[in-house]
Amino acid sequence: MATNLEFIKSVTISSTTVIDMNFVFSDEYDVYVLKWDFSVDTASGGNWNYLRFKDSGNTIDTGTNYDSAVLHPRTDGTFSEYKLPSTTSMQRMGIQDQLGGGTIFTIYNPFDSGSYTFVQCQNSGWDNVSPTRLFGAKGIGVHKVAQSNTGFRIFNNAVSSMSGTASLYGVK
Amino acid sequence: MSGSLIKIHEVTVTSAVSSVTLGGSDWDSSYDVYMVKFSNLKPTTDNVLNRVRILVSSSPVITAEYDSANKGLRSDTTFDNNASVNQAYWEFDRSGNATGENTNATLYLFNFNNASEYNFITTEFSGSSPFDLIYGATGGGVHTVAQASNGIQFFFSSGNIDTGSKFTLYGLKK
Repeated sequence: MATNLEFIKSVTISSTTVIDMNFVFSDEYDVYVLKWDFSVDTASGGNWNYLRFKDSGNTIDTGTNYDSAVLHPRTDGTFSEYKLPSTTSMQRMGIQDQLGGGTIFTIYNPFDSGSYTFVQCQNSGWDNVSPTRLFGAKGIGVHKVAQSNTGFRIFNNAVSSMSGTASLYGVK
Repeated sequence: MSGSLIKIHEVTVTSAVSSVTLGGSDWDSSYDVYMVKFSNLKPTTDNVLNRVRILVSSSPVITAEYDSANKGLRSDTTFDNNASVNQAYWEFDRSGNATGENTNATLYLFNFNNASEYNFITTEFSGSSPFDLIYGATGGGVHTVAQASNGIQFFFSSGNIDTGSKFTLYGLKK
């Protein structure tokens, strides 16, 4: 029987500060799952996943067109809430430091020119600078431009060099 | 290609309807866990709540046996702790229908074929609210009757589900 989770593309990076996937969204899928598994090369703490989208011309939107709302479960204190309206990227969508972690993004309607692009993230990561701790994320985001997005870029707020693999799947 | 995520039933709304059901006569009871995804869900009436019921013998259960708890994520103020018991439906998130706005979610259904346990659901919503902000909910629910069920129904607190809303039910292969 055919599967309905279909592999699209995998990209592996080594010691770079961004990861790009270009021309990967199409009208073939409404919903995508992105697995993002990486570690930064030097422990620096607080390496948060940031996400931007690219239009049909592969141009990254760096305008203040993103909202995020993220809850950070953590083992060392009160869970943190981040409310980030009208920023230049989806922000704090999970933490990953030198000892790694993993994030699953679900991306809705990126190619639909009549819809905003919506994202959910679920992350479990390790903050490797004292106090070391488990730090996760459950969050949502929106790219508030009704346009066909065809790709995306992930980077981290500290612009830390990182290595890892991103794999994108379409949900048929 | 073989795989483990198997599509069972899909509904795309082509004209506004009061509710959408997945399963019922299309239910496949050969799975322990089901995944539901909906995308581009839009109400015909702005500022309404998303409501969900289970189906038993292909009919929605309307008695007050639904409990839910979720964290409301929003970009404007402190996150909400939402909890309710003994309701006639599960209620999650809030939807708007301005240009570009819609609601999207991934749900998992547990124990729907098990007549000796409760039915459980986990929910991850992401959408735009009628207040022009990102709004979602992460949490779960239970239907507190030990019975088998064979589907799920979606509707809004007021008005209809608009054209273009898409709902898909999958089974997770054992």
